[in-house]
Amino acid sequence: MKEARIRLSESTSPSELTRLIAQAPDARRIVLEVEANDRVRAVERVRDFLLSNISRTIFVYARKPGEGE
Amino acid sequence: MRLDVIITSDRTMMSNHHHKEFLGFFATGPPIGMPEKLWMWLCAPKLKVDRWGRPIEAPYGLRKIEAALLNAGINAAIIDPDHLSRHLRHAKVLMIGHHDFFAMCSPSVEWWAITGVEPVNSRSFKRLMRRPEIREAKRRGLRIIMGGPAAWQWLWRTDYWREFGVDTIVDGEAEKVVVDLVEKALNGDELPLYVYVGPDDVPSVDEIPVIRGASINGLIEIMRGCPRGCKFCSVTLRPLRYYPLEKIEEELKVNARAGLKSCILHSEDVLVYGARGLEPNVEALLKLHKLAKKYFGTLAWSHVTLAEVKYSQEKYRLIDKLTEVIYDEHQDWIGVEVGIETGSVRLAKKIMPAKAAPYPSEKWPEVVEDAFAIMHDHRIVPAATLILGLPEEREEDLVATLELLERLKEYRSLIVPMFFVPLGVLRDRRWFLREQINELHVEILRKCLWHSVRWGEDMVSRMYFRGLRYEPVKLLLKLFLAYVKRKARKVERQLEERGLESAKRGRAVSVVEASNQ
Repeated sequence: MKEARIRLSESTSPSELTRLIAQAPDARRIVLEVEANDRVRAVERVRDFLLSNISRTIFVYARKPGEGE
Repeated sequence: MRLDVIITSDRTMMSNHHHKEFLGFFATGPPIGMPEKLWMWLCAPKLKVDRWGRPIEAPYGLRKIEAALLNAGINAAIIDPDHLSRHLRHAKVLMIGHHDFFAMCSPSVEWWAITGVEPVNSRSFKRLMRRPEIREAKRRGLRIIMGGPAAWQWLWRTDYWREFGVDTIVDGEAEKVVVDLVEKALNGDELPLYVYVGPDDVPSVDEIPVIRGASINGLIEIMRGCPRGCKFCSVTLRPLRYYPLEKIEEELKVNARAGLKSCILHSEDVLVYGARGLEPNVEALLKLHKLAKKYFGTLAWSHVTLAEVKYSQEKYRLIDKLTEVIYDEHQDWIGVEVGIETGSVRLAKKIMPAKAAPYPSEKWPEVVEDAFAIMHDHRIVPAATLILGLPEEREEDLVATLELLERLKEYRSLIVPMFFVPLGVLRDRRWFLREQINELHVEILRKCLWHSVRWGEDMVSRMYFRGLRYEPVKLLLKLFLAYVKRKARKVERQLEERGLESAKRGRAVSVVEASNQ
């Protein structure tokens, strides 16, 4: 199964996520690395996308800004 | 016994509801008219456990997770919430599943909106998570994973995500992802915050493990998914899979060995088990029911669709044939959940275009009434749902629903109106809130209440509770129904005198406040 890994930096607007994901139309599994100072804040940043997604498997990981780039 | 992984839930989930599944629905209600402890006893009595605190029966979904972990060689067990302390001293992972963590599903959400009082399911879950032993274990490094059909609620309640120190939420069928997650948790590796299992990652039938211990009230799945594609439902997002009879029999045996006397066949529509499209597979259904009756005196269905009841009876006399198998000296009626959702043909076409199939959506009200008549004649008692506040709902839709309710008056049934909750294809739509309730919604709520009270009293007295051991529950329910009738009349009077808008502003529609006046 094709997997895409996408990092959402602290300075990137979450609305950009739709465009970034559109660049991987074949990916059925998406690993999202979301920068935020607080773990749960990472989910809050992409909540709208998570609520609208029904077709792909999503894993969300929290990243400290600049961590592991 | 030292466990690495504890699987559990709060008391409202970890109960057999006096072996009366319907009583479990009281956990979606706020504790009104009686003290919360009594309410909890009514809907969620404690389970029998073994010396290690493992319940004899446990929620089916938790049993699946337990089986997946045990099959992978992981040291895990389901533990009753009253017996967590001793296991939390050693466990590294705590897994909790729930149907409604925060009372955001219907009908909890509407009981809360109408009464202004938080339902017991949410209260009970929060009490569990605030227990000192869990907080202490968390401080020591316990990793907490949440899942189950209500996992989506955490996206709306990130405040509790922080408060309870939850590591991971798993939303969707978890059998294929759970082993990897738990291994990571046990190894101290990084965990994802949130996992959504899409349709390509759901397990095949062969990948779904057979439960290792008995399930609450003998509930077992016979299939997953639903072919009807209703937009408000999350189940239709997943592929359709039928369990073979051999697999079903293995689970029936697990429950029978544990001493259970009844079973519930679970499916979004039991009557499409083994079907080709929506064409009923009469032979498969008869074999399934004969198999279940071989092990259990009584059986129940979780859900059927109204179109399938009508079609299968009219074309194959299937309801005749199945009730001939089911009814005997142990059982002379059967209960089931069904979805009406709306009486409006216009809305039915928009949000559930295949719900009436093989009949056209234009015939939806007729399909509902005919199916109710068939069920009434066969002593099948439906607990039916309606959805208020569906996207694009108009007054004419509500009028159509009221007209349909009028036609259903004489059929033995419970009808529960539910507020629209954004799920399935509609999961990014707006919630239906108390502020949006109009006069027609109130009229539907009122009609459903009196319909359900009337038939509820009939069922409590004549069908649902037989035998001396149920007398205390029966008495409590009768008192509660009398309380509901009294308070409902009071609220009706207030609405007449002050009007709906004034009542909403003044919260006079609250049963609780009415009771304090």
